[in-house]
Amino acid sequence: MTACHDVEGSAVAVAGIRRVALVGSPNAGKTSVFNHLTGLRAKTGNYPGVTVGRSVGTTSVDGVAIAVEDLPGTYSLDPISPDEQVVTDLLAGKYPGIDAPDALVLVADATTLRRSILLIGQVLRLDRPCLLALTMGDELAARGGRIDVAALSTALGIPVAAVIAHHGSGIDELRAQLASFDRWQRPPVLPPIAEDDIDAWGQSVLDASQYLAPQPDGRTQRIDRVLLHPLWGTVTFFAVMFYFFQVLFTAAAPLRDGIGSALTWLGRQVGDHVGNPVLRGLLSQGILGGVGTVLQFIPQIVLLFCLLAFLENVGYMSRAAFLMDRVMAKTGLEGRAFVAMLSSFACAIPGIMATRTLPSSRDRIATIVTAPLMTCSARLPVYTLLVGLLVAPQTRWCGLSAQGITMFLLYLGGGLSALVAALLVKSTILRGDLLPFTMELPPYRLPSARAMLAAMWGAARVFLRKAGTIILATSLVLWALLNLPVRESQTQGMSSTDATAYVMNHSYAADLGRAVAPVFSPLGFDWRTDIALVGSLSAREVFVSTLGQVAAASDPESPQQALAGMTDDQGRRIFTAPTVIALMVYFMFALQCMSTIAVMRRETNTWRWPAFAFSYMFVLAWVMAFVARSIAMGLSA
Amino acid sequence: MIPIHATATSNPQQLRWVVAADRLPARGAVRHAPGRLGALLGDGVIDHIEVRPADVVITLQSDNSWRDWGDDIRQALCDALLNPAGWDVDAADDAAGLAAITAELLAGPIGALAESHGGSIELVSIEGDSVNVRLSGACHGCPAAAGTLHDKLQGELRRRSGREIRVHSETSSAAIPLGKKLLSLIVR
Amino acid sequence: MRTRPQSAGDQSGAVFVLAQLTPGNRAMVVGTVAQANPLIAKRLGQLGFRANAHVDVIRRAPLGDPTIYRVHDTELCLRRREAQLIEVIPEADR
Repeated sequence: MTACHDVEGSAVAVAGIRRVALVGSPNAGKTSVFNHLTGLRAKTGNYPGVTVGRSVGTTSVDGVAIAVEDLPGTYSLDPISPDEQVVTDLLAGKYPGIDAPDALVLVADATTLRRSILLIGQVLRLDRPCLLALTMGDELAARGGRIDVAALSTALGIPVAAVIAHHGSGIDELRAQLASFDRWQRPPVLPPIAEDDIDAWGQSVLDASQYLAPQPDGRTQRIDRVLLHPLWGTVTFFAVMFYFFQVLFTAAAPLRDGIGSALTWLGRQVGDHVGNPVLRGLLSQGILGGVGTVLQFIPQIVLLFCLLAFLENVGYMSRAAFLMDRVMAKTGLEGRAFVAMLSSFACAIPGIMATRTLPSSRDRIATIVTAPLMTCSARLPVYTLLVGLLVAPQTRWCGLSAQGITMFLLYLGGGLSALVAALLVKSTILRGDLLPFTMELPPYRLPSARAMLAAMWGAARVFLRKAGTIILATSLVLWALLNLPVRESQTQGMSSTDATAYVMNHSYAADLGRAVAPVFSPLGFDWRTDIALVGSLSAREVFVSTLGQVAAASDPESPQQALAGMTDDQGRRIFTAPTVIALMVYFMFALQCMSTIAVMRRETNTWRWPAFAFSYMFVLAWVMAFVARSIAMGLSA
Repeated sequence: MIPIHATATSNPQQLRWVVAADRLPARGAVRHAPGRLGALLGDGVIDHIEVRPADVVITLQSDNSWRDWGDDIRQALCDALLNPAGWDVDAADDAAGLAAITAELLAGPIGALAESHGGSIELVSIEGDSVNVRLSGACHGCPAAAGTLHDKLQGELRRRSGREIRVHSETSSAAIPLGKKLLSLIVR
Repeated sequence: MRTRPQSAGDQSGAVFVLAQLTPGNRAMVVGTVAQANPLIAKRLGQLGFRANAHVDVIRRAPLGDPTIYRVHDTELCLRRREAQLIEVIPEADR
């Protein structure tokens, strides 16, 4: 069986290493315990054959390495969906290609023990070495609850470790126990099988442990009275959304400008100190030009990941999903898909990764293939350029900045199209899920810095690695295509600008551009625009710099002047209003992002869905661009 | 199934089956139990059953294992506990046992009942099948409360010991004899 | 919003479904209705909607659906579609 992505090199493959799996319901603090045990070194991927995420890491006890696997959260070993079947099969040793773990660590929240006793009973029935890690003990006490951990251990017949996940106390003791699971206490008799009988058994166990259930969390109740209030809750929600977009546009600006200046300085150094023109071109245009735009976005992306991680960990995201569920249900999805769609306004990559919270795999796939329609931050430089070409800066419509309104409409268009696409997809090919919408609303908890860091770093690392490598590679390839073959003989007597223009017009890229020209000519794009389109398949940001190179602009980062004046062979202006509009609409819909496709592939575990997404979005983009252009031409006639 | 769970003891053949005290039959060594449990005891699968204040201790015969018999015995035990009258128990230690049961009840449900009415109840002495208690506080002024406590205590003691226990309550105030006298005057 | 659920004759033992209750009501779970899809019934049971569990209706979303319930020390939300599948016996409001 093929190993899953990124996990193939992990310690799991090494023979003889002991394997421990963490089992527990969602929101029990399992991921926190996992992060504490494995540090930030965990590898993530998918279980073979399904879209369920897999996290495996290692920890070491007295020099012995132990593999730790964070199984997906589950309420019971009696599955109701194929995804949940993964955990049940894996624990039973029936999952193809993966052995059952050697020992199990049950992670249970002390404040919801009356519910999770069901899962505990079922896991004990498996008759495997088992240890219970009891989390949120401090919260239990703070809310007037109580439990005698030693009595619980006696009643269950297994070792119990009290762990306070958000400041890591009890983790070292837990880790120390992992090496000796052969000697863990085992229950003398296994709990009963039938659910009603497990309930009776559980009640007896909790009574023997002097368990006193906690009172509802007063602080959460007070906050929810505002945040979920029909009026104030909605107001706060929109305020949070507005703040989200503020961060998107402005908060990271100083950092972005800082990086921009650093890159400009680097460009100058290259220009001054690198003698070889080929190398100079490669460095300044190929590398700095292409990767530069991406680098400038990093502060923005990291800040957004940070905000999303905070909202998720503090517990607000489930409230947002609760408020938006009715709207999302109209598209056939559910409230949690809203969070994924929202994240896609920053970048589709965290949005796609956020679909892991959706229990239904059809909902997950539907959200994954439609989320890229949401206007992501990469479209911003493209829109800025195009809006600048279309609308003069000082124009005002009804007293508001025309450029601002156009931007807003483009953003709105993207958002609406994603929802409509989700509706269509869910009512046709990904239709019909019997899975009920049930979602826990955990108490508000201030996330620890460590949890935030882990969440942020996990997401940012994917973005940096994929985006960095793919975009860097494409920029280099594009540069090579635009500047090769070097036509030494033909450019002998020309001036340097003419020579560059000649090489470019006869380069491999030009051949490519002319080859695809028939596809795009009905949209009014000329072959140079086509080259930029093909290049920006790697990342939308690359469109701007590529167009700049092609237009032989003096400053490839803001090619506005050169583009406005660009003419085709017959001397007609290329970037007329209908063409610019067509281009804007094209970018609204087209999936011009290799990184997104790569993440889609990883999350859906197949090439089928990324291929589908790319195809339908290309067709949609082409058709809508054509329609928009026709309307624009009709209106201006 | 009634709430029940099993805890290990120092003897691997012996387990404590923890059950709520009010579901337990009379305390002591079990000679015969109803249903399947009795059959297992009779057949020798189970070596020994003892009912204690808060649990039932079951010892398996030495070549049987709890892994094999656990589910079976659990089900049998639950079924048998639904019929406490059908148990035949060797009440081990009469007076001490009765004193223990009474003390447990007074510390537990009966005492709590008395407190909820603003009074209290304590054990004075035990003679054979007679248990003498004293009521004080609000209880002693109220014939109804005294009657309820008396009936409840007597009922529980009879159920748990399997014998015809009789409860006598003294009262700690002179007011009651006076009150009774007045009452008897009026009634006459 | 502490209204008593509508009931013909208002017997305290009348059986309702959870969807009929409003925020502030309290009830005891009987089980899932007979015609419920067995998978959904199973999931609801696993979340805590088992026999003899106490349920509190906390609040409803501004758009009318879903509703937050508290059961077994956890707050979770259900859509009306699923709340209609849980049989309850209303208890006195808190």
